[in-house]
Amino acid sequence: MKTIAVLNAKGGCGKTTLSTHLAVALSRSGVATTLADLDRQKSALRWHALRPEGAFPVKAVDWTQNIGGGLKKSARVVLDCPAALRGARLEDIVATAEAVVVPVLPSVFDEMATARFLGRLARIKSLRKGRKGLHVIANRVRAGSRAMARLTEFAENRDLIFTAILSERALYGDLATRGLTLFDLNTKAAAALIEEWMPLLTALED
Amino acid sequence: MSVETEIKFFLSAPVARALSRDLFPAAVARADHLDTTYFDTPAGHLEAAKVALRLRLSDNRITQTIKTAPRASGPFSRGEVERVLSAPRLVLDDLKQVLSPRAYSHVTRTGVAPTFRTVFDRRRRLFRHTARSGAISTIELALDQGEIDTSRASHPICELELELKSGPPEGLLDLARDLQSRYGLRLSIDSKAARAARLHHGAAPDIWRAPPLNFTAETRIAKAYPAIVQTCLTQFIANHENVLEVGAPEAIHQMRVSIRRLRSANGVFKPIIAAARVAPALALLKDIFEALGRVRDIDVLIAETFDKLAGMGLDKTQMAQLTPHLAAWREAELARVRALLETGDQWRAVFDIALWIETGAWRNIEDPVGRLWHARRLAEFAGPALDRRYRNVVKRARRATRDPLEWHRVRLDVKKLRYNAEFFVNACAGKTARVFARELRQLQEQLGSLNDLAVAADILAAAPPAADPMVANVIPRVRGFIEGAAAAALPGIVARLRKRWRTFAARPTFWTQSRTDAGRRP
Ligand SMILES: Nc1ncnc2c1ncn2[C@@H]1O[C@H](COP(=O)(O)OP(=O)(O)OP(=O)(O)O)[C@@H](O)[C@H]1O
Ligand SMILES: [Mg+2]
Repeated sequence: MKTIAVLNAKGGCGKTTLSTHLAVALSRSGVATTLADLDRQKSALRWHALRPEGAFPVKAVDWTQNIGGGLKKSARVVLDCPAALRGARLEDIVATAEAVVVPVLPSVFDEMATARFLGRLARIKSLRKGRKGLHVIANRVRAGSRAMARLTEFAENRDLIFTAILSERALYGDLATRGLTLFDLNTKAAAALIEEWMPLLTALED
Repeated sequence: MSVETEIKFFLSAPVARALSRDLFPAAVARADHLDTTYFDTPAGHLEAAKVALRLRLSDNRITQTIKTAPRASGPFSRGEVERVLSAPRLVLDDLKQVLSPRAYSHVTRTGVAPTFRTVFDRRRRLFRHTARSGAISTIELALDQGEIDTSRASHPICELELELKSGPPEGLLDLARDLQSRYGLRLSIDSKAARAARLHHGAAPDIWRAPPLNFTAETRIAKAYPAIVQTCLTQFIANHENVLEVGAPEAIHQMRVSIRRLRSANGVFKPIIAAARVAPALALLKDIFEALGRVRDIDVLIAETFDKLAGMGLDKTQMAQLTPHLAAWREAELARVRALLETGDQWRAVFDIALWIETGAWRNIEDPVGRLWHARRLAEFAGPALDRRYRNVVKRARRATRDPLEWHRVRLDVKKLRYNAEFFVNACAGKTARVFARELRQLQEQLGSLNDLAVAADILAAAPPAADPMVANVIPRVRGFIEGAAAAALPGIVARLRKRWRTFAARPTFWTQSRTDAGRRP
């Protein structure tokens, strides 16, 4: 079983969006995947409750009280973590995960918070030694925007390479309210956006 | 050791003349006279290890070459260790690279002596070939004409060799495919050395069994699937000579196994491969598979089922009367197989499949998330590949009554499950997988005993009418005996089957097991 933790101390950067998308993509790809919600806001569980009948089945479990459980026969677990995750709890979660995914928004405030957060992650031993994958994802990117240029510079200054760059699209908000993801759609528009996710999925599955 | 990628065709004299005219005009071709001596220990250690050691003289140059047999890596590649010598003195040291330490110490202890010699004229030229994908490869074409001399016999050499010098193997395969279909060439993966050794011993062409798949828990599907297909192709090609020249039951069986494995691999990996691109090639192989199946059924009847029937009290004189009739029928069915193989269409199928693998066109990339499978471990696919079939077969067996038809369906399911499981057993390391595979095999054998009699009765029903009235009389009588024996044996067989079935169904399935194993690994 492989655990993928989606983390960032900053709120609203796309943790739940990434978690739900990864859970559906992996399930659809043929491996039994469970989405575990660790956030007291329970957005992932609420998204799951909204999933329409007939949509590809994805398992979700409530880990807001106790971490662990409900993983019978799962080959992958995606952890949707709360923003307020620090200290020993953060270290515990990183320790159990095989891969850590950190979404980042192109905004000055996010960058600063992310820089601090990445610094904190860098002090965690297993990540520091590169024994597990750390994937930083640029989210809600508008190509050619000034914010994106800044984010690129920010990454270059830190020798950071984004594993994937996801565009800003109103579709994401729409889908979230319907309990869906891009990976539930068969449209041309979705197919083009799905390609943006492939570098992350490929890196996680390699 | 370097790897040589080479394709060889046997030529008839008229085809050799046509090729010589079309491809080797004096302006571009170089002519050499090659005199080659092969060596082995008195006990034949090198031949046993499928290694050839030779000294070749041409243009006052002496070259020592060591070649290995094609392996699972593909029908067209073999290992090669070559060095130019200043005097005709062998450097046995090079054998270390290809022999096991034990075989090597045998060779150095007993020493080697000349075994046979080949003398031929070679015309060769370089050819730049642009494959359909646009990739450019340089290929050396060599037309060899001369003979093999052993102390016992001499045999003509007339063949065309294509050796990849640079660029992707795709170009070599593509050119070979073109030449094969243009000139109707006959492919062979027998080296001159292997052929000479065979002639020397007066032995029948080799029967090639596939070596076990050496997959590990780390093997990725992108590696595993092509390796499976390559082994199938090697097995298919390597048994040709025997099927065409001798038609030994085991060669028929192995050629059939090669196609069956290819088909079962394509069934297992269906969601992640793009098999539609090789559909015509696969359809052609299926026709050959079916023709081979007829011969195989008769072989099993004569070699195995008759013995069993004798034990059950079938009259020996009746069997003796029937056997020549069945043998003649086998010859006729074998002739059909050979007629199919002599069209040469199968070579195009082989090249199509080899190209499909080589160029990566086998990957199904239409479904973006399906693509993820290629990077995953083979072991992880065991669950998705086997779980459903396993559960269905368990359900079917639990419900089966004494009706042989129901058990026949169970048998077919078990057979498929077993062939499919074969690909994963090594990748899912551990005892569970091995025990599961063993139980499954035993179960299939037991189910097979139920089937043998039914097949025997069916074959006799399908046998051509006998001209000899005595034989014509015997056929329905033997059939009647078999049907009676089958009915009498059924309750016992079913009872034993049920017992074995319970043991099997209680076994943990190795794929769910390996999943939790993987989770526990630190
Ligand atoms: N690529 C995108 N394009 C457009 N909108 C996006 C994109 N990614 C996320 N969003 C939207 O941004 C909002 C916040 O995203 P999300 O809930 O995934 O973030 P979060 O990190 O989980 O937030 P929280 O810290 O509150 O848990 C949501 O409304 C979501 O639909
Ligand atoms: Mg959230």
